[in-house]
Amino acid sequence: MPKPKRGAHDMGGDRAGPIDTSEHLPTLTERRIDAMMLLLRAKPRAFWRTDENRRAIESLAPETYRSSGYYQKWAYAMRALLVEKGILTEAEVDRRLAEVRRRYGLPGPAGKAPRRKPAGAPLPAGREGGGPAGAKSGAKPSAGAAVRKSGPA
Amino acid sequence: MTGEHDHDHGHDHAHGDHDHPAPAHGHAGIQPDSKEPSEDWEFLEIALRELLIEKGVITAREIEDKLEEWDGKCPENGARIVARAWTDAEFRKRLLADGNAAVAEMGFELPGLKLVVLENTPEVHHMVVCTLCSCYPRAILGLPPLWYKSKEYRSRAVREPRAVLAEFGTRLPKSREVRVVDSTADCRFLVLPERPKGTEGWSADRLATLVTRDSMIGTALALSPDGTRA
Amino acid sequence: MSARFKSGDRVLVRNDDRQGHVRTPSYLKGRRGTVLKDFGAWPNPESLAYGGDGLPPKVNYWVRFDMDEVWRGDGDYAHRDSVVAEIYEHWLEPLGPSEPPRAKRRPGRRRAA
Repeated sequence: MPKPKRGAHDMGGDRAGPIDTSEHLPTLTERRIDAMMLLLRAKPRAFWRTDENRRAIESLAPETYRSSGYYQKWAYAMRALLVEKGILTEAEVDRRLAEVRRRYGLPGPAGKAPRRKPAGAPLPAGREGGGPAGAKSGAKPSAGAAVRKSGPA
Repeated sequence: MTGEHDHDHGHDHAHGDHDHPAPAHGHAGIQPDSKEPSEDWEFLEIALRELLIEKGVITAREIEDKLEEWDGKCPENGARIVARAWTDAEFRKRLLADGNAAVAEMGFELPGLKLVVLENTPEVHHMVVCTLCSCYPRAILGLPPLWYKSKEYRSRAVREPRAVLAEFGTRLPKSREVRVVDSTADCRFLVLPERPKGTEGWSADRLATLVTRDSMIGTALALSPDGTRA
Repeated sequence: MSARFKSGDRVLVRNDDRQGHVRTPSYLKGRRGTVLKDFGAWPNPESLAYGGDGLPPKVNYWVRFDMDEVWRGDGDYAHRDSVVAEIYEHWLEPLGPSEPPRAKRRPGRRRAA
């Protein structure tokens, strides 16, 4: 029986090249992403759980997932969750991104939010319609997407 | 992946160079950004941080404090736990029976997670991976090494453990079971390596110097008394 | 909450194709293993991942799989090697005493020398 389709993150057993076993210390940018994520996730804020963080990363388009570094994916997930939970809006992130780029002398429009897979992810049992709990924007099921029961019994 | 960074931290860890295993006392330090941010996600970090601080969601001070807190989490912590288990049989039993309770005696907490300590024996060698993301006992060992989070390790560890171990310079007899532990749920795994021969009478402090980060992940054995790989 | 399985039980991982956040890796779907331990009940990550309350909690088991069972000889491992993973109860089916024999190793595949 053939194995079902799987996400880019579900990579156990995939063929890959040699492992770079050398030491790479994280940069300050990466450490800050790590610190912010912990602050946002843990009490007293507890804006989201580890599981939501994982889901947000797994929701990145496969090509984005495969080509992005570890903390790069965390940055994208943090953005998506902050918007999903209504803490920031896409528009203000875009505006600030454009301004930060200008500060560094870079022309052109702000980078768009990275492509994500279409929504339509299963919902927790008992919920009807809508997106994840508490969401104001972000991952709403697209029109016509089937709402699926969560989980095998 | 995360862009090019110059490495200038005194150790020449050329790929494949296994005469210098990762020290247990990794600098929990930070490699300074050696260049201005240039990738979109680096600008995104700045944008998000500024917005969150301006809106009073978090403070700059909290970020600094968190960075400092995590400076204190490093493989040396795990090495102390292992060395104590090697020298204190009752602690070892407690550690294997209930990892959370045992490491709490030494001041380590993993709220919401179950710490499982994996005892290496002559029959079984454990190697930990998280194929789905990169779960790691961070609260004890600090941030995981980059290779642990790489697609190469995550993909190949469960299918080619012997080849992966060989890339770390670790070769084990076929008669020994290599048990690859895929960290798929709420357990966090710490390998308790075998105590190297020739260390009779050593103090726990001295023994801890033989316990490398990689030996607690399971891609290596603890160092021999002469400092080489076992 | 009572656990369906206990240490020593033979189990099969469901070959379920549901999408969305799950913590059962695809490489173990459809594979047979042995329960090593019962880790007790935990909030369901498949619910938590979407802002749900994680209820009802699911029992999680540590399940050991022979490498040959998972890869059928197509890997780089020794005969005794294994992979162990934490699998939630709703992803496991019991295997009875009439469990069919494991599929044969494919001939000509590379394995550890």
